Amino acid sequence: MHCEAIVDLATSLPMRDVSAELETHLRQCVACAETIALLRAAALPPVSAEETSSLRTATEKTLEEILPPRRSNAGHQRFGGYALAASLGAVVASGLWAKNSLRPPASSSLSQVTCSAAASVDLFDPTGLYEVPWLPRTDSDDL
Amino acid sequence: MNRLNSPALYLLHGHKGVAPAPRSESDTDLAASFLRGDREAFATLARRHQLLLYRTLRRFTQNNDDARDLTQRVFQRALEAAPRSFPRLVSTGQENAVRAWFLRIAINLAKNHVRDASRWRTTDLERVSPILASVERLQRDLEAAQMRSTVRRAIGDLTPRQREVFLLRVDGELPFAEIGASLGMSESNAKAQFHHAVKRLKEAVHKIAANEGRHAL
Repeated sequence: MHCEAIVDLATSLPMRDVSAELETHLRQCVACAETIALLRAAALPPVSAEETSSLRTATEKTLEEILPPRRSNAGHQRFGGYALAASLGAVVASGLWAKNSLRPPASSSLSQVTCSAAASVDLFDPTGLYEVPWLPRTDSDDL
Repeated sequence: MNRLNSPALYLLHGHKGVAPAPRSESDTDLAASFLRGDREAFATLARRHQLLLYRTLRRFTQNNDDARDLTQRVFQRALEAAPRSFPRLVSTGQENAVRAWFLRIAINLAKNHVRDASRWRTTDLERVSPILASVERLQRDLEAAQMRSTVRRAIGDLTPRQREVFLLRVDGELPFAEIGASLGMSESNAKAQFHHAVKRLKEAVHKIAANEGRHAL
């Protein structure tokens, strides 16, 4: 095993146990032994179980905040969409109905109705009611 | 319907601190699922890489809490960037592309964090091994702690590129190809940077040790 291979092999495993072959080489090669010692000194201690637990809890909380769960599934959303469309349709329909019911009849039909009503009145019917605008003048009015 | 999007499973798994069962798809498959509207796929990616990101970020922060918070900021930043970046990552077809992308975000955030704090952590005595029973072991441990302190100070004196490569190798335990992908350089360049870093570290440690009048390595 040569020095470059040692470094390549060992640098990725600085905190772990070295193989017997590597151990033998390290006893003979001062440069490699220094490299391994350096890398072991440089490495941070392994992440503790408490750190891992705390990290996982924090991550779940963050994910809940940035990826809020969907409150309803696709069926609910579709139903909501239909309900909204139906409501809008009802509002439009009721508006049109109200507009039509308040509109006065067309002038042609009104005149026809008036004429036909007028034609049915018997001006000579003694029982008919006639409007009298005011009473006829009398002599006493001039006094 | 995706089973993880089911409301029933959210009731089971959605409360704080409990992750759903892990999914077995590859990173790029999950990225593609996210682009199709499966937001839980992003959560799976975050859970999958959280420890690697945390291990890498520990080096750039003063304490574990900062590293944990910085990891969460990586997820926030990644989610914002995912709709733009995932199509490119998926199209490359490289399995480690998503992980390298997460690492790039983490390193950029870490560099900002260090710059904002205007300091580089030079000592790490709070992470030194626990108190030892015997005086002999205590002596040995103190020497080891001094060595760690010396080496970590020397890491701070590396060039930024050398430092990033070195830390991704030592803390992230990543292969050189992936380090190169994360930092936007070739595998051979990453390897060369690493060897230069080791050489410079050895020289720096010898120098510091000589100034302090003790044995180097």
